[in-house]
Amino acid sequence: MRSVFRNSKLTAVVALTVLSGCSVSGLQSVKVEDRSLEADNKITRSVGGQQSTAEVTALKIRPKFKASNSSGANLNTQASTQTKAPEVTASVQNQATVALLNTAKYQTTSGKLRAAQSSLERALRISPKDPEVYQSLGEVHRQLAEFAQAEQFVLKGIAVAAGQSTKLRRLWSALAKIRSQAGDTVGANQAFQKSQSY
Amino acid sequence: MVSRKKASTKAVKSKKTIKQTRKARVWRWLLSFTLKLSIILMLFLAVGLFYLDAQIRQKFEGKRWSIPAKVYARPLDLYSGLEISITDLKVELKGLGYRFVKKAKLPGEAEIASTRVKIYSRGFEFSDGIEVSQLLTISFNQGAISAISAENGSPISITRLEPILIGGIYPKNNEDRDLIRLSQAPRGLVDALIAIEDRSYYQHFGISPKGIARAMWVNLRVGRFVQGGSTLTQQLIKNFYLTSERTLIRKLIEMPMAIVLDFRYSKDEILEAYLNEVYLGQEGARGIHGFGLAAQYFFARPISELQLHQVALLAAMVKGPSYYDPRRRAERAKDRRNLVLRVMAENGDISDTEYRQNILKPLGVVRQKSLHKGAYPAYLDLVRRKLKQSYNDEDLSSEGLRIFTSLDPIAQAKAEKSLAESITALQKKYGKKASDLEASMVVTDPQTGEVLAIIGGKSTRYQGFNRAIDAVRPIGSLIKPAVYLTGLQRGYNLATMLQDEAVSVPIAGSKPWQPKNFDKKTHGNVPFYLALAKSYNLSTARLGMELGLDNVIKTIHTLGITREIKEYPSLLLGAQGMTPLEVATMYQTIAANGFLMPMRAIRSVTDKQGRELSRYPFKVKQVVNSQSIYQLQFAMQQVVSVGTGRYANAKISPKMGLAGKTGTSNDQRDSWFAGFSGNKLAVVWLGRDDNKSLPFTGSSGALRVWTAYMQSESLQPLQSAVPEGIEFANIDIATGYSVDPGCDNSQRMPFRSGESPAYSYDCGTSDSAQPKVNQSKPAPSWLERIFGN
Repeated sequence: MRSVFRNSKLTAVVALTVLSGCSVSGLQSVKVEDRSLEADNKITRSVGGQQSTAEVTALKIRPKFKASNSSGANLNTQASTQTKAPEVTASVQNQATVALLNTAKYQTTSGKLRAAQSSLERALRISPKDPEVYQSLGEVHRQLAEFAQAEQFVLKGIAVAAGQSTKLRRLWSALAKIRSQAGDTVGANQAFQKSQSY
Repeated sequence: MVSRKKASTKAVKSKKTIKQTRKARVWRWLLSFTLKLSIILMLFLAVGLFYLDAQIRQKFEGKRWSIPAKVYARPLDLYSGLEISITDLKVELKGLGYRFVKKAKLPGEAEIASTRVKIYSRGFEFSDGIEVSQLLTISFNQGAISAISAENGSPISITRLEPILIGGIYPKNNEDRDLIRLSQAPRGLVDALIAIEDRSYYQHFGISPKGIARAMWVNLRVGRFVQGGSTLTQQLIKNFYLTSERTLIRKLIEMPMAIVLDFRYSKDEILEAYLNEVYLGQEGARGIHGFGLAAQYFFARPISELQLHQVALLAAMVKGPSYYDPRRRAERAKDRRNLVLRVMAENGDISDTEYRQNILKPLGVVRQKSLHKGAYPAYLDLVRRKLKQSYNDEDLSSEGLRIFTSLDPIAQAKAEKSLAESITALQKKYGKKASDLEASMVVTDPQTGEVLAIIGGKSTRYQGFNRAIDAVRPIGSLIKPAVYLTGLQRGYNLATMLQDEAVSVPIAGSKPWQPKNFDKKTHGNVPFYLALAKSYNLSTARLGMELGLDNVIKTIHTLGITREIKEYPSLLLGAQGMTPLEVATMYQTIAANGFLMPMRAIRSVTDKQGRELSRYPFKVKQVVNSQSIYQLQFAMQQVVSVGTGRYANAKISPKMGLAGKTGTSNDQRDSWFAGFSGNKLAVVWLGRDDNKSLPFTGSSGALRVWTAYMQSESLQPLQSAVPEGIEFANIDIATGYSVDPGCDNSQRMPFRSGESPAYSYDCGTSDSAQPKVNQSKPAPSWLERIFGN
C-alpha cells in the first residue's frame, strides 16, 4: 500500500510539473506529509477484555488462632471462641450510600455486574465503614466467580462490623456461601457455625 | 517557351507543392505532436488529479488526527452529608471553568451564597452512566452539604460533577486538540472566522481569484507582502497535507488540491476540519490545535460556552498565534480582536450595539498558571507509568482514550499550600541552613487505597525528578511500626516492659553496631507502646534483634513492600531506603486495619466512545490479624498524643485520634512523617538532593508540613471498631502492671483476650504481682541465631 503510494507520488509530481509548465528541477523537495500511517493500528486491549485484574488464588489453610501465640502472622479469618466485641449500635446509613446500594442491587439482578461493582466502589468511598457495602461487593465478586476477592471483601466487612451482631451473622453466612461455592467445605462449615454464634 | 514556362511554372508549382507539402508535413507533425503532448498532459493531469483526489480522500475520510489520551481527576461526588466547605467547592468549580454569576441560567454557571450554592452542571457521560446537565441547589450546614435538590425541588440523594481534565498523553509531534463538531461552535465563531480570513468562503470554489487579486493589489500598494489571499480551504490544505516548507511546488500543489477538496466535500465539512486543525498556540512543547482546545487553553471552558468577544479573539489569532498571543501581546491581540468585531459589524453579522459593547470588554484570558492541565506533573507521571504496563505509547497518544484517575484536586491544592507555607516558615526559622530544601508528599485515602495527591518536588508544576516515586531515601524511625507489629504478632503486648539500655551487635568483618538514642541517654525499663511512641532506638534495636531480622523483614513485605531488604541490624532503625510512595503503601495497610489494598491511581480507561477498556478495581487482602493491628494503631496514636508527634496534637483536636510516626535518618539527612486519620493518610519527606544534613528532625520538619495539611482537611476520626478477642486494661506505665483506673501514671490500652498483665491492687507500687516482663528468653539467643553459635 505504501510503496504504491510512493510510486504514485512520483508520477503525480511529474504530472503536476508538466501541467504547470514549470521547469523547476529538484522535484524531490516536494513533501507530502502522510499522517494517516497509524490509522490501521488497533488498540492493543480488546474492547471485550473487561476482565477484572483480580487474581484468584487458592485459599491457604490457616491455623486456628492461639491465644498464647508466638508463631506470628495468624489471621482472624476463622471461627473461634474469642471474647465478643462490645455490642455497638450501627451509625445511621448515609442516604447516598443507600441510593448506590439500591442501584447496585438493581444492576446485579439485571446481570450488569461490572456496573454494580462501579456503584459499590462509589458507595465504599462515601461510607468505608458500612458493612453492607462490603457484603454487596463480596456478593458481586461471588457472582463473577472471583471467590478469593469475594471472601476478602466479606472479611473486611466483618472487620468494620465488629460489635454489630445482626450484621455479623449475615456476613458470616455470606462467607459460608462463598466458601462452599469455592469448594472450601471445611471453611464454609466454620463460617456457618460462626454465623450461628451471633 | 510555353513549355519552358509551363515547365518553369510546373517547377515553381512543384517547388510550391514541395514547400506546401513540407509545410503541411510540419503542421501535421506539429499537430500530432501537440495532440500527443496534450494526451500525455491529460494523462498526467488525470493521474495527478487522481492522485490528489486519493490523497485528499484518504486523509479526509480516514482518521484525521491523533487524539491524545485525556486524563481526568476524580469526579466530585455530591451528596447530603459530604464534608466540604463552600470555599473548597469553589476551587472545584473554578477548576472546571464555571462562571460565578448572580443567577445561574446556563450550563457552566454557578451562584454562590453564604449557605447555598446553585450549580448549573454541564453533565458528563461516565462509563457507568450519564450525569445529565441540570440546575442543582446545594444547601450547606456546618461545613457539610445538608441537602441537594433539582430544579423542580425534588431531592437528589447523589450526583457528581464532571471531572476536571488534568492532562493528556501527547504524540511525538506534540499536537494536542479537543475535537469539536461544527454544531458545537458557538454563534459568531464561524462568522468571525469567515469575516476576517475568507469573506467569500461560501461562494468560491476552493480558491478565490478575487481574493488573490485583492491581495496582490494591497501588496503592490504597500510595496511588501502583507496579504496572502489564501482561502480557508487553502489554509486547511496547507496544514493538513503539506509541510510548512515554503516551496514553489507547494504553492502550486495547494491550489489544485483546494479545488479538488472543494469539489469533493461540502463547505461545512471542510469548515469543521478547519476548526479542528488550525494551530492556535504553544505551551512549551505542546502545540495547541483547534478551537475546541483553544477555548480550554485560553478561557478554561468548553467552546460552546464562549461569548462573542472571546470567539472574536480566537478568530483574530488564526493569522499569527504567537504574534497575537493574548497572554504576552495583550494590546496587539485586542486591536486585532476589535478589528474582527468591526469587520463582523460591517458584514452585518453583529449589530452596531453588539460591536460597541464587545470592543470594550477585556480579553478575559485566564492565567496560564490557573489551568489544571499541566498542573499535576508528579501525579501524571505515576498514571503514565501504570498505563505503560497495559498500553503502548502509540495508542495512548493517538486513540483518544479517556483515563479516569483518583486525583483529588482539592486535596492536592491543600497539600501544595501546606508544603509551600511550611517550607517558608522553616527557612525563616533556620535561615541558610534550610536552603536548597527539597520535598515530596503522597496523600491517600486509607479506606480505599486511592492516591489522592502527589508532590514530586518543591516546584510542584515542574516536570522533573519525581521524588515521591523515584527518590529512595533512608526512612529512619518510620520502619519502627513494622518492628513493633512483628512483636505484637509474636507474643509481646503493649505493656511488655522493654529494656532501653546500651546494645552492641557484632558484625562480621566490621565494627560492632552500637546505636544510640536521639537524646544520647538510656531510659531503663519502658513499656512496649511507649518505646514506639517516644521512638527509643535502644529498646527498638533490642526488640528487633530478639524477634529476628528475618521476621521483621517478613512483616515489612507483608505490609506491601516488594523491594529486596538486606538483613542488616541497622535496618531496625531505618537504614533501609524507600520512596515516599512505598512508605505510603506500608502505612496504608496499617491504616486499613491490616487489609492490603494496592495503591490505586487509575480507576478506569475507556475508549473515545466511553466504552470501558480496562478497569482497576478495588482489591483487598487481609494480611495482618485485626487484634495486632488494633494494638499497633493504639501505639501509633500514642506517638501523636505523648510521643514524638505531639506537635500535631497541639494543633488538631485529640478527638481525631491521629496516628503516625516521625522519621529522621542518620546525620539528619532526611526528615519524615507518615500518619493518618480515619479518612486521610499523608507521607511527607523533606531533605536535600545533595544529601547534606538538615537543621531539623522529622518532628521539627516534616511533621510541620503534615500537621498543616491535616489541619486544612475535613478529617474523620480514626476510630477502628474494636475487634473480637480484644480486652482493655488500665496499665501502670512504670511497671506494666494492670492497675485500677484511678491510679496515677496509668493508661488504658487494648490487649488480646486473656493476655492483659497481672493485677496490682496498689497502683503498682509494691511487688504484689509480677509484671509480665518479656525477658524470659535468654538474651544471647538472638546473637546465636544470627551469627551461628
